[in-house]
Order: sequence, then structure tokens, then C-alpha cells
Amino acid sequence: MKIIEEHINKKQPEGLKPDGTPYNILIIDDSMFIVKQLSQILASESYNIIDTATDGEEGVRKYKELYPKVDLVTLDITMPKKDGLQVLKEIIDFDKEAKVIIISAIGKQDFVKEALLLGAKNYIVKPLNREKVLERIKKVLM
Amino acid sequence: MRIDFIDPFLDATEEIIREILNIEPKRGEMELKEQESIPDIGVFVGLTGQASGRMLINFDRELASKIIEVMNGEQHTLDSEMGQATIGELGNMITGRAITKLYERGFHFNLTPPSVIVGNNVKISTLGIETLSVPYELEYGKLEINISIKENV
Repeated sequence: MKIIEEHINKKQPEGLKPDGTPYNILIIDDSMFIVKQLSQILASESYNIIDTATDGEEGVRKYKELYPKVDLVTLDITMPKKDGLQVLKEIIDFDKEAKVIIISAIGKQDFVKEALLLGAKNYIVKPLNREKVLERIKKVLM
Repeated sequence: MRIDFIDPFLDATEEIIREILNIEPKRGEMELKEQESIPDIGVFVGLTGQASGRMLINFDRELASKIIEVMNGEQHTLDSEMGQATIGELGNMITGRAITKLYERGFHFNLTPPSVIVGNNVKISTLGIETLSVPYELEYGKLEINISIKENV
């Protein structure tokens, strides 16, 4: 009886789909620090980091190459080569079902509004903390 | 340089330091400088938009090492890529918060990605733009904010 209770109470990691396979996350961010911090947070709930891109051009290219395997994209705004809002536009143009969460140090209302109008599903302002990141991602994947 | 551009940078610096290091920064006297330099380690972030300029944040080695350790949960050297990426990210968070505050006051700015410089008293030309410099004393060492902004007309 105790074993069954333990089994029922044991929470399934948030990063796993009902079939037990992990959600695939693509991280697009030029900061090695943020890539590492996000990877650690996501791995702790068994999400799979399918790939990372360190500039906007690489991000768009990888999303297209990996299509339709990416379940969610985390996207920085201030990046070399192509900024995040342009990347967002190109990803949504390619796949209007894409789930993109913006992660930026900039919380200006005009940016947030533009990102949401372009099709971003959520917007997280840095600094990051584990609870905030996991809660927003879970909400977007639901 | 308009003084109302400065406060959001100082407030953002103090808020981020409190949030990340959980310590109280002590603000020193503001000073006008004609020559900028990086004694130990610095992060530059460019500002574009309604006005253009840059913010340079200087850290002494002890403080930079402590910030790297706290933000990563482990130590990385100042010369390592991860150590420098951490300092760069702190610069990004401070300036990102600052331009968010500026936006609330009706000023539109955007940022460039941060650049980190590790050196020994590196001198920087100011391109004729005056720099406002504010030192901070922290439990783990010294930090200095340098802001140069020129309004675009």
C-alpha cells in the first residue's frame, strides 16, 4: 500500500510529455551564462535541450532544420546579427504554431507588446529564477 | 548630458546588485570625467535610440570573482569564457533594467550586446562625450558606473 501511495505521489517531471518522452527546447541566446543557467533549470525537470544558437541567424536556421521536433523556443532579444524580434517574426512566418518565449533583460512595454503581437507566447524579464522559468514554460506547453 | 538620464542607471544598478548578491551597495560621490579607464575588469554596453552613448561598469578583481561565484554557484576565473560571460550578463541585466525605467519616463533607448574587457589600467578615449562616474562600495569590493550619453538632435 505504501509503495502504491509513493508511486502516486511521485510527481512526473514537468519536462516529460504524457507518453514519457521529453519536450524539446531550442535555446537562442548569445550569453553563455544564460544558456548554462537555462539548461540547468530545464534539465532539473527533465526537459531536453535539443540545441542552442548564439545569434539570431543561427537560431532561425536551427529552428527550420529541426522542424517539427522543437516543442518550445526560448529567445533573447539583444543579439548579434539578427535581433530577437526579427527572429521571432521569421520563426512565426515559417511555423505559425511555434511556441516562443522571450527571455530578455529589457522589460520595456513597447518590446513586450510587439513580441506578443508578433506571436510570442510569453515574456520573461531577467534576472531568471528557477520557479519563474518553469512556471511560464509549463503554462505555454499546456 | 541630461541628469534625468542618469538616475535610472543608478537605480537599476542598485536593484540588480541587491537581487543578485543580496547586499546593500553604498553609493559614492558623482564625478565628471574626461578620461575613462578600466583598472581591472569592465563591461561596456552601447546605447542607441533617442540618444546614443554607452555605459561602462568597472569591477575590481575581488568583486568580479565574487559575482562570478555567486551567479554560477561555482568559481570561474576572470580569464575564462564563462567568467567573462557572467560579467557581460550582469552588464546586460543592469542596462536592460535601466532602459526599461527610461522608457517609463518617456525616453526610448535600445542596447547593444555587452563587451567585457579584462586588463590592467586600460585607457579609453571618450570621443568628446563627457562621462559621469559614480563609485560604489560593496561588501566584496568596488564597482564604478560610467555613463556617457549624447542626445541625438
